[in-house]
Amino acid sequence: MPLAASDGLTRLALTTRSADETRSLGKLLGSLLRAGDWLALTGPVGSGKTCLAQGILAGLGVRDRVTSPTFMLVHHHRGRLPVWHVDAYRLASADEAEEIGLGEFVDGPGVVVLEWADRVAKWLPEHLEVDIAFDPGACDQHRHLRFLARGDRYRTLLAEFREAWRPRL
Amino acid sequence: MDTDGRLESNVVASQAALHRRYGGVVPEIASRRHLETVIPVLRHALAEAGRDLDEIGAIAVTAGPGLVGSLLVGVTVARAVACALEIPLVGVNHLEAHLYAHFLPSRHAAGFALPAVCLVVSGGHTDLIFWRDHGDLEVLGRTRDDAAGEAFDKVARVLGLGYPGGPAIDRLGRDGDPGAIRFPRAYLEEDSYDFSFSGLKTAVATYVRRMQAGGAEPNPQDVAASFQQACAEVLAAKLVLAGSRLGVKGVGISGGVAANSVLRREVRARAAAAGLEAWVPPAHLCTDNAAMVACAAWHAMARGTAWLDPVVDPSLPLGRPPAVDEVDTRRAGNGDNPGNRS
Repeated sequence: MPLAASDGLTRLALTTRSADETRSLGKLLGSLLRAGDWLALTGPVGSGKTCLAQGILAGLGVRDRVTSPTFMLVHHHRGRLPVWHVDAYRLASADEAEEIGLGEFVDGPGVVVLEWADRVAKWLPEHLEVDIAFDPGACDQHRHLRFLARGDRYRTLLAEFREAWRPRL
Repeated sequence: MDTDGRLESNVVASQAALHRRYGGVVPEIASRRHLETVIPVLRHALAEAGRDLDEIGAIAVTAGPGLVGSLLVGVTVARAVACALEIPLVGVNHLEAHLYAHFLPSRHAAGFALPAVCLVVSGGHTDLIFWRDHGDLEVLGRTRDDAAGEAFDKVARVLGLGYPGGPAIDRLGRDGDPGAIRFPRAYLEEDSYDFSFSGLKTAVATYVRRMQAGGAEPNPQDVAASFQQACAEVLAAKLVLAGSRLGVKGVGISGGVAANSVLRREVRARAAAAGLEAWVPPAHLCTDNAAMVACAAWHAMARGTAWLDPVVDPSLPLGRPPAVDEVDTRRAGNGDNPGNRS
């Protein structure tokens, strides 16, 4: 049952079975992004936010080594679009999102991939949220990804992504 | 630092107490704090050395890599002082400055010799460097995901410890069994000098989560001890392997994580077993300090390769040749840790 992308999709839940699969999923998502898009990644320590970001940036054509931006807060990369890989882990409040200059990336010429986005949730513009959770059972490698589109652009994006990922299910 | 390269004073205004309240370095608050402390620290450093400002011959300052706000405060203040005194201002790469901890006066410094293989390991960096000579550096490997210090901070969070995570884990681990839990060691491909600490961090998080899911509380001492054992083993093994293969006299560590007692012990033991010297500066010279910045600049000036009129570069690469005006010594530039001087 093909679904027209224009129909949009607000929520989607998926499970990946390995870090490689999480990276592949990210790569596909990255290939669908366009200038001005915001991805907000959440999930506990070790759930795979940077791993997913590595895939997303690969899908955007970034060839640099992509590492955790926790210490530097913002890593800038160039792919087919400029990419700002940001980490809110060390921010105390949403106010500081503005202070470190995140506001400059809204409606900007590139893509923003923000880890620990829940720490600045109140501040965020429209975005696609991806929450990563460990498997509550014994499968240490499995991750449960919950997508939530916040805004029309992201409902369209999420529908496109589901269509593209469907053959992999 | 005096004209013969001897250290006269080294003052550190620690921001750790402030950062603890926020669970990490908060950049804007950090740069505000920089602004508040830079002048008092400068005065303190002069008083400790028994010097007046007009006796200073040059100012050294970190131009990058780092947090742009903090770099700008240091650079601006240093430039102002250099301008007012009409003395040169020398820009220094923060990672290269960490290497110069090996040239600072301490009991171990006498034996240090180039070429050497050195590991700079901190919250933001895990770089294995072949240091052939002053100004001649080759990065052999670095992290593919998290820096070692970041893994310490995040494991500390999983264990509910405060910031900074490194010292907290070191303290806790002393009472634990490093062999209690067999966490993974990521050696990667056979010939790789790269590192990966994300898997280790995740393994610790998974272990703690599974224990708690089963209604048990993990023993934090054992988790801390086992985690830092896994971390230190990989760091020390790759450092010593590179040292042996490259035929240097010894290997060195510096950077904040080099203050970790288990890493220091592991590096000494493995270097000795491989017939290499182990250069492990005192902890206060491993963590961020002004003396190492002054020392790096002093050596660059002595060789005539000082980076004058530097500009702030948050992602300054290691080994970048100093920009243009090496001859012009009447320049103003940048600043980093308050109180840097050479």
